[in-house]
Amino acid sequence: MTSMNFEPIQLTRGQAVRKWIKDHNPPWIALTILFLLLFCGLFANFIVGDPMTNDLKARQIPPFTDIKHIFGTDILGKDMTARLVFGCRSVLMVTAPSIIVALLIGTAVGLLAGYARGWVDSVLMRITDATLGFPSILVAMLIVTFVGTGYTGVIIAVTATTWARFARMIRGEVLSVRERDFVVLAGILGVSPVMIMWRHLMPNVINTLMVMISLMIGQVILLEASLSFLGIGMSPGEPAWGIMVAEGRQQLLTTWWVSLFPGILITLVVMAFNFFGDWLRDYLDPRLRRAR
Amino acid sequence: MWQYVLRRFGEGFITLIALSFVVFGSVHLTGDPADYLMPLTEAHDQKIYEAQKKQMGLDRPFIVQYWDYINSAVLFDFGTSFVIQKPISELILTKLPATVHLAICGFLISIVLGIPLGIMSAVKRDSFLDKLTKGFAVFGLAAPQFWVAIMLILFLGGQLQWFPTYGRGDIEGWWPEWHQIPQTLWHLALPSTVLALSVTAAIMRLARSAMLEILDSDYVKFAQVKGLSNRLVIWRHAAKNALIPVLTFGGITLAGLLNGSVVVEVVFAWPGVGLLLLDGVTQRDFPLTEAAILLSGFFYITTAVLIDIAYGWVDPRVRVR
Amino acid sequence: MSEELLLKVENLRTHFHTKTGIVKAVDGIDFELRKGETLGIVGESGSGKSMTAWSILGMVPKPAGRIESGRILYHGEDLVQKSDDEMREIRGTGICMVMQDPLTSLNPVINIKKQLTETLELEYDEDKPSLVQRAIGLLSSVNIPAPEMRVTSFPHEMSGGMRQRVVGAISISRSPDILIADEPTTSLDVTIQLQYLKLLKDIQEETGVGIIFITHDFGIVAKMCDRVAVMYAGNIIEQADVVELFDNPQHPYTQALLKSVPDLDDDVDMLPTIEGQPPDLANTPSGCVFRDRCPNVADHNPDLGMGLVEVKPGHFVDQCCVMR
Repeated sequence: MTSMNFEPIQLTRGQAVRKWIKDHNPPWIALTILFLLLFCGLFANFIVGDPMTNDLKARQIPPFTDIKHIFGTDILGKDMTARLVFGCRSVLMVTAPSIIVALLIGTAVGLLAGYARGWVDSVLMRITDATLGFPSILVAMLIVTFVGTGYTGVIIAVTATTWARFARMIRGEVLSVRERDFVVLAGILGVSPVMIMWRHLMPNVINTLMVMISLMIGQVILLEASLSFLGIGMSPGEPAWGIMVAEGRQQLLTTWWVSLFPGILITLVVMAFNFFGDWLRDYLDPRLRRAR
Repeated sequence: MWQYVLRRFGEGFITLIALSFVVFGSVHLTGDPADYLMPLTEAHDQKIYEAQKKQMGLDRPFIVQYWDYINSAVLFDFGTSFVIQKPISELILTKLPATVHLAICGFLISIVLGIPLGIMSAVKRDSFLDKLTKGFAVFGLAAPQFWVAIMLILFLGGQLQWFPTYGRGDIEGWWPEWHQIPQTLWHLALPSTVLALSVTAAIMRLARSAMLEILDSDYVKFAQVKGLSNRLVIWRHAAKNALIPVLTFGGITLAGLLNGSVVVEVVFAWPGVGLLLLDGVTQRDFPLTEAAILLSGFFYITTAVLIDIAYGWVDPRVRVR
Repeated sequence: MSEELLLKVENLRTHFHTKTGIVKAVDGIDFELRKGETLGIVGESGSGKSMTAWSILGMVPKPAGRIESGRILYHGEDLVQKSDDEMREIRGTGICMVMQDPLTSLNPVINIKKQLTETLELEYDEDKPSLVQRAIGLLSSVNIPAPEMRVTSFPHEMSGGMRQRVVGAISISRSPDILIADEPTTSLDVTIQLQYLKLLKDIQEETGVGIIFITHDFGIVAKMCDRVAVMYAGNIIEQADVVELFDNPQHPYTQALLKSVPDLDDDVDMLPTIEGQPPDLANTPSGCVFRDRCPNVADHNPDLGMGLVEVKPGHFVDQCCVMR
């Protein structure tokens, strides 16, 4: 009787990479957009000129007509190209801190609620659930009223609307893990809860977290843009895309491009994050995991 | 069923109380409330400051002030707006019809478009309809509403002049006159479409993915094995189950509508509560902001409870909890 | 045994065209079913048992799957040639099926009454109240206590055994000629299993329905079936009357399967297993499909194609075992 042979086939580095790409089909366009976003955000100074100087002699130049101002200039003569690129930086500066803080708060709350259970859990979850569904702009407005507008206000407002989602998810994971035999055993053996959480919880959570973050960045960007548009977000004049759309609106028919381009960029970036998040979710899904 | 209903109402009530606490508390915990609640000009002179403080009852303990506020709030008295110098309740009442019209229109559009299209795109998977729906959903969830609004105004309103781009027309209040109805609808068209945009996209996506899962389920197969017609299988067995996740996210739909209404009202100069709220925030008119947020919260919580109850009606498994 | 012939399957092949190749779920099977008879189809998971059932019902998952060739003769007509609409007419009233998990077979948000009456509606042109009466009658015929009260319940309010009986009731409500039961007792407790099997037997005696019983449990085969077909990798490798198969299994696979059922009287340390794995259905070996695991392969000629040969009256085995 012949037996089946399952010799592992040795692939070279290059072949392995190519195979991975073929098997998992990464979302190229989305990745390119995200890479450009990161690049422009970090190196904006080196790519374009100053986004803040007014040049009254070069006001309201339409796009694609002047080589010095490919995307035109705004009402006061600020170069649109520079502002668009610096807008990437605003995006990074807002999303990174707020997501990190939201993550920290959410994790703390989730861990506490999941581990302590009882009335602590109930109370924390009430608060979390109430915040979860509540319209984010209203929450943001409430906060901005008392904290003030501008960069800090935006960060706090955005954090306040996003932490709840992390809390909920972490709590869910804690609950599902803590009853597992090996965790109970570890507890009996005297392992501290923190250690248990770290060793057993983290691996499960990391995957879901990554997907969640990718999908939430889109919401964060939209929220910040909306707040800036309404005038209660970033300070006016800053190169933030939401603000630019608002500026273009003031003289819409004559400076329509000032509103058009930032909006396109917002849409593209959010789409890219959504696509990437969806792809990441499928990639990390243990049920679909075949040739990882 | 009734126990479930009562329970949900009870929980909603508690959340409402908590909300009012938070809103009211924010005012009094972030710095000296007197600073916020008194018109700035009068705060400079210390004597007047103290006197005003006493007069407005701001030196009383927190709980007392809270109780007072809640008592009047229930009677729909929110005090007077700083900036506009009119009773807030009056302001809100005059603006409310506009927002409600907008919200209902947006809601209807999103349900009427979102659910059937989502279901059909799952049934006819990978067809042209499916691709179109998916594309629309992707766009709708990524594009900022204020921008879409502006672009629509630019093209449909400015260039082509198909739709009016601001205001409600000449109507006031809840019910337009008969002859005013066409004009009302015409003015509602653009704003409510924009409002519905992201919500429709979310619903479409949800209905589609729910439907796909259901179509794969055993009970759908069994329904086919019994010999039921395709139409019956889809609309009686499958679609009803697809409603469950959609309703689950009804809350998010609602939140999306409320969110969007602020932006849409601003862009289209729609004289509603959202616009009022924004003015309140930008002009630091705290009583107004407080009241508007409280009311929105109340509305949101109530509707969320109602949606939960609907959920219980559709899916009997939930009632047992 | 010369009852009326209900179903005749000839050389049925159902293949799935996937990105990684053609999966031959069912690759050339033949069998017959007569009135009042129970045919058991036995095999491991992935042997093609369920897909045979779906092929008969015309519900092979499209677009990847389709019946490549063969005939399924029912009342003299070839079901493979029928359109979707025509098959829909036959389903429920000619051929019906009961699946493994009754909880997922019933729609969770619709009550039992509606799920029964919507089927009855297709059969009887009567008004609502009399349909409900029929439904209640059906429930009591499958031994559900207090059917008038049960009829308005929801699936999750019933026990597993009750649910499976409701599903059974629905499936026979239109008096089909053929009932396919796809592992209907796997999710039930052993004692409930017995009750359920007895119920099926009773129904069969009363109505003469032909049952195709798909299972992997030889104990059930012994209790329920008149004839048995053993499937492996999409082929039927042995087919015989039940007693003959148990007494005289010819194919090494059948022999191994029977040996692996533990007998309380035996004093065994380890249960015998069959070495190896079933083949990847996208990549079946040529010739005898069991060749890679057959202990006797040296003595036979595995390069012959698959095909059943009659070794005794009514007892068929794949030709590889017979030829030397």
